[in-house]
Amino acid sequence: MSNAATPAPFVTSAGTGAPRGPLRVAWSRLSANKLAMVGAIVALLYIVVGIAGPWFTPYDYAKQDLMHANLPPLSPGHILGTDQVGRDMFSRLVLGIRISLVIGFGVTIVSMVIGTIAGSVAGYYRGAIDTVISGIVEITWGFPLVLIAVILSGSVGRGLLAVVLAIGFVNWAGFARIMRGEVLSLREAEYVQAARATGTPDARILVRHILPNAIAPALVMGSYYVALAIIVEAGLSFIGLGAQAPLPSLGVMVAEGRNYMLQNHWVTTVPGVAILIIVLALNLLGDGLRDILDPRLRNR
Amino acid sequence: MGAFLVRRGIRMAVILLLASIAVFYSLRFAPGDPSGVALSPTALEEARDAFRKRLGLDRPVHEQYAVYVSNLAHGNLGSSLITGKPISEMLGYYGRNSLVLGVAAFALTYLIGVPLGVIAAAKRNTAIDQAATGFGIIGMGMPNFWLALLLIMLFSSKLRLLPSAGCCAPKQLILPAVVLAAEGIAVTMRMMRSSMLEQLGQDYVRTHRAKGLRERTIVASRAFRNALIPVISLSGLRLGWLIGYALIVETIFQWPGVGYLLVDSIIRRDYPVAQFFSLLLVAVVIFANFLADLAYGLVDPRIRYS
Amino acid sequence: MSEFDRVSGLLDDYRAKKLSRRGLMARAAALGIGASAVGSLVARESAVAARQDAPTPGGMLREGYDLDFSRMDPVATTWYDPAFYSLFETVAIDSPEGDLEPMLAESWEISEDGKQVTFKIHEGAKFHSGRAVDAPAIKEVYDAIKNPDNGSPLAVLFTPVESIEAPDATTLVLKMSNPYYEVMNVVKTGYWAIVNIATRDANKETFGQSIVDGTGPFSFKEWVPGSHVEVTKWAEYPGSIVPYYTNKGPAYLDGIKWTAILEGAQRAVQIENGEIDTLRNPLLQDVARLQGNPDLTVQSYSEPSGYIFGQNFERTDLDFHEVKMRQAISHAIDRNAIVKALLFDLGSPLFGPITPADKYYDKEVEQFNQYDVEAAKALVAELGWTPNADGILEKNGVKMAFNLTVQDESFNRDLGSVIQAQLKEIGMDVTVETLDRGSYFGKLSEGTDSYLFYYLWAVPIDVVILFVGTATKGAPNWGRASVPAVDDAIKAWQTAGNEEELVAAGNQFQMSIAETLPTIPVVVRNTVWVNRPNVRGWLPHAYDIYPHYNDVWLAQ
Repeated sequence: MSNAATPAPFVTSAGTGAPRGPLRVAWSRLSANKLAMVGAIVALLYIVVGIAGPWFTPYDYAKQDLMHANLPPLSPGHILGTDQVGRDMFSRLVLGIRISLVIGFGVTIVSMVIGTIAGSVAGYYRGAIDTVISGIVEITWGFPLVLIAVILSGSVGRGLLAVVLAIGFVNWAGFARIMRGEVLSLREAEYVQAARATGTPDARILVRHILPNAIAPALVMGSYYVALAIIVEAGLSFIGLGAQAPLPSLGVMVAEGRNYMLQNHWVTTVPGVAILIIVLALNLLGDGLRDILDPRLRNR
Repeated sequence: MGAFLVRRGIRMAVILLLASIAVFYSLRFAPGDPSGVALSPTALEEARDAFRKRLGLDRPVHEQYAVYVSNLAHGNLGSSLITGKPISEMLGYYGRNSLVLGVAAFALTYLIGVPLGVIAAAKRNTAIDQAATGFGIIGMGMPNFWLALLLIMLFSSKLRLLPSAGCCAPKQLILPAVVLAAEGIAVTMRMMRSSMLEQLGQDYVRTHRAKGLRERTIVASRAFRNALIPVISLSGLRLGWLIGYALIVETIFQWPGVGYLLVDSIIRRDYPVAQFFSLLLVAVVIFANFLADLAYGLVDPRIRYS
Repeated sequence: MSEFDRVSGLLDDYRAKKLSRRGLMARAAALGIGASAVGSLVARESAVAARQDAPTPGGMLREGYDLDFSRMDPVATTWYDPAFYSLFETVAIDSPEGDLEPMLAESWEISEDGKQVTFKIHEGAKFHSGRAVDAPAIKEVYDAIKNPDNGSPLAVLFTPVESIEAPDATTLVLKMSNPYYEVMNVVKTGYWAIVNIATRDANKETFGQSIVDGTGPFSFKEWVPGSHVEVTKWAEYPGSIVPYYTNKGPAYLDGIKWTAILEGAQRAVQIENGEIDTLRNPLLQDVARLQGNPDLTVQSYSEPSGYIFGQNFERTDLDFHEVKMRQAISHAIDRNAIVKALLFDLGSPLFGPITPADKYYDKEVEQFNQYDVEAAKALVAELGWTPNADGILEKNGVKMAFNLTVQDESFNRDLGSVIQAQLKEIGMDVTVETLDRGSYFGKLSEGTDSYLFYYLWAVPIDVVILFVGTATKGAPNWGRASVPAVDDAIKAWQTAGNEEELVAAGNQFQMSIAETLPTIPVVVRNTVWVNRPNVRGWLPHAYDIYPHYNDVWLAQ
C-alpha cells in the first residue's frame, strides 16, 4: 500500500485564461486526445454503473445461498458466478464499483480540501506558518496509515467514513505541496499585488484571486488520486481495515476472494480487473487533462 | 552550507519530537489496549487489570509519555509487550531484512522506471510509448497483494522457477522485490516521461534544435538532467515507503521486515514496538527528504543551500 | 470426504504401529465402518508396511504453521504452539487411543475420595541445562502456575489444588480442597508443561523468547516473531518412557523449523512445491486439491474446538436473558449448511458445547438446536416479538437489531456474515462488527451485544466452563451468562471424584448448555495435516492437538 502521488511538474495556467468559453476550449482539446477520451468514457461508464447499477442488479448484494457457493462465471442464474457464501458476483461487482468510487471521490475531496487550504495558507503567508505546515506535511508522509485507520475505526466506527477519512488524512499532503508552490508564485503576480495595495482582505484575495488560478493542477492531480485511493483501500482491505462486510468494495472483493484463488480464481480476477480498468481510465484521463493545462506540452 | 545543515538538523529534531507525541497519543487513543493480545483470551478481568497496572497503562497519558521519553533518553528502547523481544534486537533483524528488500526494490524502481520514461518521452505517442505507459499503469492499477499471488501462481506453482516465500536467499528476494517495485516503476516511469516532455518543450531545447544539434544528444544531456530533478525529489520518500510500508509484500512472501512488524504491532497494540517503528519511519522519511534536497544540488548546481 | 480422511488417518497410525489392531477396529467402528471392510483395508496396508524402511537419523523437518508463535514459556504464554511438543514434556500424555499414558511420571494414583493424586516421577529425565527432573522440580512449576503474579493463562483450572508436595525425589502429591478427578486432564496440557523454574527465575526477561529450558528431545535455537521458530536435536536426551512411542531414545531429526504462513493460500502452494515437508491447516477450501495430489498425504481430525455465538444477557430489552430467545436464534442457524459451504465438510455441526469426537461427547444434545426456522419464529412470537413492515422483529417499540462482534480473520468474517444472513430470515437485524486483535477482547470485556468466539483446548469442557459460568462473568464469560442449571453442572464437573462421576457431570454439562444456551454452539472444524512423502513416523491423532516429534524421521 502506498500513497505516493504522481506529482508531475505542473505549470500554472494563470494568465492564459481565455476570456470566453474556457471549458469549451478544454473540451475541444480533450476530445482531440483519443486516449484521454477513452479514459473519460470508461470513467463515465463506471460512474453511471456506480450510480444506477445497483437498482438493476438481479440479486441483493448480501443475499446468500450457501448451497450454491463458489460457482464459476456463466453459471445458470449467475453470470459472473457466486462467492464463498453464494452471493451473486455480478450484483456485488456493481455495488463494489459504487463503493469504490465513493471511496475514490470521497478521499480525493477530503484530501483536496485539507491540502488546498493548508497548501495555499502556507504559500501565501510563508514564514513561520509555512514552516509549521511543511513540518506537518513531513510527519504525514511518514505517519502509518494503518494507525490512523485503526483510530478512526474506533472513533467514527468501522466503515466507509473511517476508510475515507483515514486515506484522506494521509493523502492531503500531496495537494498541499502542489498548492503551496502555485500560491507561492501567484502571490507575486501583479494583479494580486494590486489587490493587496487596495486593502482587500487576505482571505478574499486567496479565495477570489489566487485559488481560481492555482487550482487547475490540483484538479488534475485529483483524477490520479481517485485511482490511488481505490488501490490504497484495496491494501487496507488486505489487513481487514477496508469497507465493512457485507458491503463490497472492489478492494474488499479481491482481498476476500484471495483465499479462494486456488479453486475459483474468478472471485479475485473479476473485481481485480475492474480495479485495473478504472485505474487505467483515470490515469489516461489525468494525462489528457494535464496535457490541456500544460501549455508547454501542448505546444509541442 | 554549514548553517543550512544546522538549521535542517534542528528542524528535523523538532518534527521528530512532534511526531513522537502524535504517535504516542494516537496509540493510546486507539480502541483496546495490549492486554487484549498479551494475555490469553481466557485471562480473567483481574489479570487484565493487574497487567495494565504493572505497565503503568492505568496512568494518565502525559505521565506515560514522560516515562517513555526518559527511558528513550537513557537509551532504553524497551521491549515487546507480547513477545518480550527487546526492540534493539528486533531493529537489527527486521531492519536488515527491510533494508535488503527496500534497496532491491528501490534499485529496480529506478533502473527500470527512468529509462522507460525517457524512451516513452522520446517516442511520444508511438506504439512504444503506449506500450510503456500501459505496462506502467498495470503495475500501478493492480492491488499489490493480487499481483503477488498471481506471480506466485505463475512462477512458483506452475513454472516452479522461484520459491513462493521465505527469507533471505537471493532467489527468495526476486518476487517480493518485483512486486514491491511494481507501483514505483509505474509512478517513476510516468513522472520521468512527463518531466522529460516538459524539458523537451523548453526554449533551450528549441534553440539547440534550431542550431542543428542532433536531437539525441540533447535528449541525452541537458534535458535528461533537468528532467531527473522532480524524480529525485521524490526518491527519498519512495525509499522510505519501500522500507516501511512493505507490509503486504512481507506478509505474503514471509519476509520478516519492519513493515510487517509495524502494522502487526499497531493491530496488536504492542505500544513500545509500534511507537518505535512508527517514529523510525517518520525519521526515515524526513531524512530521506533531506538527502533528496542535497541530491538536487548534485544534479542542478544552480540550486543553493539556503 | 472427511470419513475417508479419518480412515486413512487410522490406517496411518496402524501402519506406524501407533494403533493396535484392536484400537483400529474400535475406532473404525466408531466411524461407522464395518470390521470386514477395515480388515480388507488392513490386508492391503500390510503390503505398504513391508516397503517401509527403518528410520534413518538426520535431516531438518520444515513445518508450516497457520498461526504466529507465542512465547515459549508454558507458565506464562498466550498459547502453546507445536514447538512446545519438541521442547517440553508433561507428566502424562494422551495416546492415539485416547488413554492417559506415562511421560515424565511413571504412574499416578488417585485417592478414593478423589482429593489427592500421587505421582511417581520417572527417574533419569533431565532438563536441557542438565538439571535432573525430580518431584521438587515439578513442584516448582506447579507452584509457579498457582502464583497469580505469573499470570498462567488457565490457572483457574488449578484452583482446587491446595498444595503440591514433594516428600522425596520421585514422589509428587497434589492435595485438593474437593474431589477433582479432572486434574489429570489439566496437567496433561501444554500450559502444565515442565520447565526448569530455576532457569526461568534467573532469566525473567529472556525466558521463553531467547532462552528455553525444558525436557523435550529438542533444544531451543531461535524464535523470530511473525516468522519462524527453530529447534535442534538435543543429543543428550535421556529418552522417553511414553509407551506409544516406538523411538525411546534421542530424536531422529537434526532439527525442526516451523514457519508461520499467515497468508492462507500460500500454505497449500508451499506444501505442493516442497518448500515445507509438513503443514498444519491449509485453507479448508484447498484440502480437496491437496487430496488429489498423489505426492501428499492428507489427514484430518475433528479438533477439540468450537465456534460459539454468545449473546449479552444484560440486553434484556432484546430478551437475550430469555432462554426462548436464545433457542430461537439457535434454531435459525443452519449448521449443516455452514459445515458444507464454509468448512467444505471438514467439520461438524455443534448442537452441544463440544465436538462429537470428544470422548465425553453426549449424543443426546442432538435433540436440541436443530435448524428449524418455524420453531424459531414461534419462539420469538411467544415472547411477544412481531415483524414490522420491514420484516424486522419489534416489541414495545424496540427493534431486534444488534451487533455481532467478530475478531478480524477471514473465516470469522464469513461465519459472521452467514449468521447475519440466517438471522435475517427470522427478522433479526444483525450488524457484523469486525474488530482487530487489539480491540476485540477489550470490547468483549466491556460488553457487546453478541460475539463470535473460537476456542481450542485439549479438554473442551474445561474451557467452555469459563465462557458460561457465573463465576467468570465479564471475562471470559463475555455474555454475562448466568444459568443456574449450567452452574450446577459446572460444580458437578469440578467436584467429580472418579471417572464415572466425571462422565456423568460431562453429560449433565452438555445437556444443560444444549438446552439453555448460555452461549450458542455453532460448528467445529477439523484440523488438517498434510505431509510430503519423505516424512515418516508423523502421527497426529484426534486426542492431542499436535503430534509429537520423537518418532518422526525423514526418508532420503
